[in-house]
Order: sequence, then C-alpha cells, then structure tokens
Amino acid sequence: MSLGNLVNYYLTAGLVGKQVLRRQKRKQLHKIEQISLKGDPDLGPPLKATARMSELLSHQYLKGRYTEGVKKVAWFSSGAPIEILQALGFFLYTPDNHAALCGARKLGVEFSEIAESRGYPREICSYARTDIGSYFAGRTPVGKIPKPDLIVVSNNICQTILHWYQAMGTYLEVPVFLIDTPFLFEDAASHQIEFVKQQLEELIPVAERIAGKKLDWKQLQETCRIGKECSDLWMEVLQRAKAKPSPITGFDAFILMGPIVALRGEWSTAAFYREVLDEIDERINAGIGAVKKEKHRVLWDNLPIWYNLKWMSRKLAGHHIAVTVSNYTYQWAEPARYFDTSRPIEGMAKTYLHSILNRSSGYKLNHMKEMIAEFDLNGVLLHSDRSCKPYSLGQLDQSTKLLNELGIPSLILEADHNDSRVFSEEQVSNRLQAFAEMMD
Amino acid sequence: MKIPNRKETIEAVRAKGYQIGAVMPFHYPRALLRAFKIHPMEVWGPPHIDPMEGMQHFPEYTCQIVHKATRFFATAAARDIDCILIPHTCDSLQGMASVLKDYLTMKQPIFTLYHPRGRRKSDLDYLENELRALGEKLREFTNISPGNDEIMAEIRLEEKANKLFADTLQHRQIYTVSDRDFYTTLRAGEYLPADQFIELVGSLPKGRADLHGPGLMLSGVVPEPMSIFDHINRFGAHVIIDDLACCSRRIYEANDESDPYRHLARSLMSMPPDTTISTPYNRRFEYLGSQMLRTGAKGVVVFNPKFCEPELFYISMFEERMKEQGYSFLFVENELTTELHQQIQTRINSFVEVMT
Ligand code: SF4
Ligand code: SF4
Repeated sequence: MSLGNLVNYYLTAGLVGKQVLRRQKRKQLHKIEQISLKGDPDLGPPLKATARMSELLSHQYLKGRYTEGVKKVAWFSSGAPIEILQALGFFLYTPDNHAALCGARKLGVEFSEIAESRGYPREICSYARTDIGSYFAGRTPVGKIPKPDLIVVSNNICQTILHWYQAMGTYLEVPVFLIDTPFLFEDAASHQIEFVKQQLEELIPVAERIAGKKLDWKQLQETCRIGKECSDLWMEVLQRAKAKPSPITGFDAFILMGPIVALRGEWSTAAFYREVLDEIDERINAGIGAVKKEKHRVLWDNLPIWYNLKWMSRKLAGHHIAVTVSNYTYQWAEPARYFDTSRPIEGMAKTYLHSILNRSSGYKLNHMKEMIAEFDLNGVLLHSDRSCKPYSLGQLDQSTKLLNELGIPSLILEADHNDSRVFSEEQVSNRLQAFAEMMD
Repeated sequence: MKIPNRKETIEAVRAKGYQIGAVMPFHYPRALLRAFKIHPMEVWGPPHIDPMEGMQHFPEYTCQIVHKATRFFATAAARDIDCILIPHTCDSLQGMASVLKDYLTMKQPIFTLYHPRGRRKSDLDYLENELRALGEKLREFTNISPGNDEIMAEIRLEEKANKLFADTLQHRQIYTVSDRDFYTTLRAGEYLPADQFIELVGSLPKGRADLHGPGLMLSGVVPEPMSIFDHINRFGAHVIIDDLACCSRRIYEANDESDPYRHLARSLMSMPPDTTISTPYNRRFEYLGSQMLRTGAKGVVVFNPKFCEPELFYISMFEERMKEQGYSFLFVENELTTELHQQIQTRINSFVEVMT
C-alpha cells in the first residue's frame, strides 16, 4: 500500500471529495426547491432525499477511483451475499448498479452497440451489453471503475448474470466465486439451504486469502445486523406507499433503491433511509401525493425502463395513474426477514436463496395479488422486458389470472430496461391511454 | 438396421410395464427414471410442432424449444406421456417449468431437477441430495421403491450405452455412413432404451469413411433440422466432431461410487464443458481447442435456436479464440424448423467455399 494511494483515498476521496459532493448536494437541493415552487400540473414535488442519495452513491464511486492499492476490491452481483466481503473490509462495487446508472443517463445504446460490435448479440441482457461495452470502450460516467481482486456472483436473480460476470472475470483475469442458488418452485428445501450455506463457508477462506486477513465473526454478525436494519428500513419506505394519496411512486423507489443495492450493510445507508422516511411522513401528514390527482393506483412489474423513467412517470401522472408499487424493489426488502445474526451463515443462505427473482412465476403472481389488496390497487403494468427473460416469462399468464381471478386489468408494455431501440414512445403512449380509459 | 420410431418405442416399453416420462433438455439421470419403471423420451422442440400455443404463454423473444415443447405438452400430442421432467439450467427452462406447474392444468405431474453450476464438493453433495429428492418424488408417483442394487444395475447399463456413444462420437472417421445417418443413429438414444441403443449403434457399418472436404466441428444446442448435415456434405465438407448439447456435451464418465445417488451425481457432473452450466470460458475453449486438434477439424459451425442466451454469451470469445488458432468460424441461428432456410444454406455454402 503506497503512501500516495492512501493520501488520495482518504484525503482526495474522503475529505475533499466529501466537501465537493456536499456542495453539489446543496445545488441539487436548490434545484429541487425551485421545481417544487414552480409546481407541476400532474406530479407532486420531487423528493429532497434524491439529492442526499446522489451524494451517497457519488461518494462511493469517488472512493472507487482511488481504492486500488488501499483496499482489496470485490465486484458483486446485485443479489449476491456481501456480508462476508464487507466484514473483511473489501471495497465493494456492483456492475448491475453501474449498468442501471448508464441506462438512466441514456448511455445504454451507445455501450450496447460497442459490445455488439465485439460479438455480443442484441438478444442478451442489455445490462450485460452496457457493462461489457463500457469495459471495451474504457469509458464510464462514474470516472473510473476499480479493478477487482475477486468477483462474487449469485444466480439468485437470473442465470444470465453468471455468463456476464464470468465474461468479465475472463477479460480481467480475476477469480469468479459463484454462490449458486437453486431456483425455487416452492419454499426452499433443507438441501437447498445447506447447499448455499456450504458455498458461503467455502467463500470465507477464498476471500480471507485475498483480503490477507481472518474473518472476525463478531464483525460479520454486526454487518448482518446493519444489513437487516437497512433492509427493514427500506421495507418501511416502500410500505409508506399504502397512504392515500401515495407519497411516493414506484419510480421514486427505483431511484431510491441505489443504496440498498450497492451499500447495504453500512450505517450511512440506514441513516439515509431514516431521512427518507422522515420526508415521506411529512408528505403523508400534509396530504401531499406523488401524483397530484391520484385516481388509479397500479403496480409496476419488472425492471424499470431506465432511459425513460421521467417520461413514463409524467405520462402516467397525466392520466392520474400513480404507480404505487414496484415489486422489483422488494427484492432487497422482503427476503431480509430470514437474516439471523446469531447464525449469520444460515441466515444469509436463507435470505439470498429466497430472493423474489429466484422464485416461481406463481409465487410472483401471489405476491402481486397480496400487494393489490394491501395497497388498494386497481391495475397492473407488466413491463415485458425483451432482454430480461427471467422476469418477463410468465407475464402473459399472470395477466390472464389477474383479470379472471381478481377482475384487475393489466397492460403488457413491450420495452427493454436499458436498450431504447426497442421502445416506441408513440406506441406506448397509445397503449397507456387505452389502459387509463379502461380503468376509468 | 431400421431405427424404431418414437411411437413404436412407446408401444414396446409400455408393453414391458414402463410409464412414459417426457424429459426436457439436457442433463438428467436416465438410469434413475428407468429404475422407477419410467422410460425417458426427450423433447427437443419437437421441430414439426406449430409454436402458436407456446406464444400464448411466452413472449416471442423466448427460444423455440420452450415454445414448441409447451405447445406439445398442452395438446393431445402429449396424451402418451405420464410425467414430465424439466432439468433446468437456463432462465427459459425455469420460466417454462414455472408456467407449466403454476398455470397450465396438466394431467401429468411435473418434476424438476436443478443442476449445479460449479464443480466443488458442495455442488456434488447438493446434486446427490437433489437426485434423492427426485427419487423420493418418483417413489410417491410410481409406488415403486427400487433398491440400491436395482438402481445400480440400471446405471451400469446406461454407462455401457454412454461409453459406446462416446467412442462412436469420437471416431466418426471409421463409420461408413453419411453425417446425417451417423447423427440420426446416435440421436435415437434420446428415446430408445439403452439395450436397443447399444444394438443399434453396434450395427453402424465400419470401414474407411468416405468423408469429403474439410472436417468441421458442429457446435450448438440441437442440429434441427437434421438436413443441415446434408447441406454441409453437399457443399463439400463433413462433420468430424461435434459440440452439440444433445450429443458430445452429454458424454458422462463412469465412476466407482457404490451409492447410486452419489454415483449418478458424480457421473452427471463429469460432462464436458457446457454453456448451459456456465463452464468458465477459458476451460471450455481449451477443451474445444483440444478437440479441434485431435480430430484435425478446420472450422467451426455454431448452429443454434434463436434467443438462446447461454449460447449467445460464449459466441464472442469462441469466435475470437478459434480464429486466433487459425480456424474458420460461422455462427448461424435457426428457428427450429423442419427445413433449413435458403439463406442459412447460402451462408454455409460460402463458408465451406472459403475454407476449401
Ligand atoms: S437478465 Fe434481468 S435479472 Fe438478469 S442481469 Fe439482466 S436485467 Fe438483471
Ligand atoms: S439452453 Fe437455450 S435452447 Fe435450450 S431451453 Fe435454454 S434458451 Fe432454449
């Protein structure tokens, strides 16, 4: 570890960086206030918490620029267990978040095209294409991505992610450790839990060797405790949408989920979600809704359409539709009930195995039905995401069942989470209009 | 020797007291099913099925194996089937199993089998337990409780068939039949009982094969339509080795475990590198490189159904590595039709022309 690296990490990214980011946050807050004062015919005021969130995530990316030579770096897939790595002091980075960020900044197509020119076909996940393309281009909107010493990937969100992370491991010549989580058609059987547990135990010596230190079990328990607290707080944030009018939309949740995905297990994340809760409670008390004339409350199924988030939220608000729930965002909230700080490894095995995306289509449908009742919803928007098969397969039957069994109408929206080339604004506008009329 | 068709096979095994189990691709314990008096018949599409019914359940961007098999299971064509096994390694098969189990009112029970990706002790322990769990479900379904010896006897028979399958695939040059006849014979193992398969493969004529032009490796999921072999031969090349999920990727090694479940688990995990279990890229390409060298193949044709993500991820590096080693490389996607599209024929023709 060189002195120069240390100085850069703690001084440039730590002290100076923090000041700069704080200033940026103040600017962003000012902008939010201006927008709130000006008012929008359809949307409620933007959440101030988004400014704090940008600060948190930007700080993490900033530290990432200077972390090489100071901390060992682990890349992890968004659903992978990170507690062992966190307890061993790794600097953590998730390519999924980076891909989403590129998508939100409308860079998905540019990077995808670079990956495609290198032989990665358009049919594969656009997160993977975005991330691989960014690697080939040697460019990223976050400045610099730290090179990993270890990659930990779990297929509890899809099988696709293994191929993507293994490709990166091959290019970067970095070991890839897999936490294999058998897909659950029912609740997990004991041998499935045991399997994940064994792999977590196998990860420990591998991670210890790279970290150059022994795992402190007390530290691991503490990390699990903080992780659970963050997830519980995140669950509270999501549950606040039950209020009428809903103080936040699923689109807010897509934005606010950044820290729970990339920084769970950190006190700063828990503090952030407390701030979010305070702000939401203020809104509830003042009767402020995220959609001004909330008439319909619907559920958004599947990933967001990152490059069109604003457009979509405005469009829906224009039809007085509040996307009250996004089941995707529950991925980092619901399974946390399995965390067990007294038996951290077993708790982690259960938590990560029961990830919503690792469960059957029927389970997801039941989850939707529960949400429809709890949040008093009257419609469902199913994003048929062309390059995310695991989430999209089963939607045609879900749509039929929702109508036949609950009388709930749904709309299947064909798009893609990062690839705007398959999105037609005109077509989606027409379909949303027809959907709104159907619900009226 | 005449190859019995599926219908004849179903009648013959039923007469011997077996039930029929339809099995989706790729890796599954044949011997275990046989021990429970279930005869496995693999479903790779099937190509002649109209996928429209499948389209009611899955979006257009799902592979045709899933579309067609769903249609097949949902129609009268499936009346001869008593149960369905879906071993799953890709998002599409998982989605399909889920839809069949959760939404389609099927008369047959649907069993699943999750194949672990790694090759660690935890993976082996898990697969053993997963097979035991499957065995328990088969016991409940059939009311049959085969002892370890009975399962081991089935395992030995399947291993004998598998050894012959492997030897034959690896010595293509000593069989004096066309590529299409060669692979039609070997693919009969997808539905024939092991003893019949051994007899059939044993009858393949041997001698100096009349193989013209450059030898190719045919890679991919399944060579449907089978006429792809005719076209390759017609354009002046031949298939000397394959890396097909339905053929060479299912060469399993025998082992000496005495417990049948442990034995089956070790055997299934001994398969060659395979995209569907996410074999690390370098390991797969080293293995394929060694196969190219051993057989003297001059080029690779990857032939896949559309929207097969596991295969698509490997294409970029596969092409790069093969070209680095001086091999020609062609990647084509097909709709799992009964006839090969003219456009694909033209591409294969130009590819072979450039090689020669
Ligand atoms: S396929 Fe879907 S779940 Fe998997 S990485 Fe891509 S977007 Fe995420
Ligand atoms: S491996 Fe490919 S072809 Fe086979 S079912 Fe999965 S997606 Fe379809």
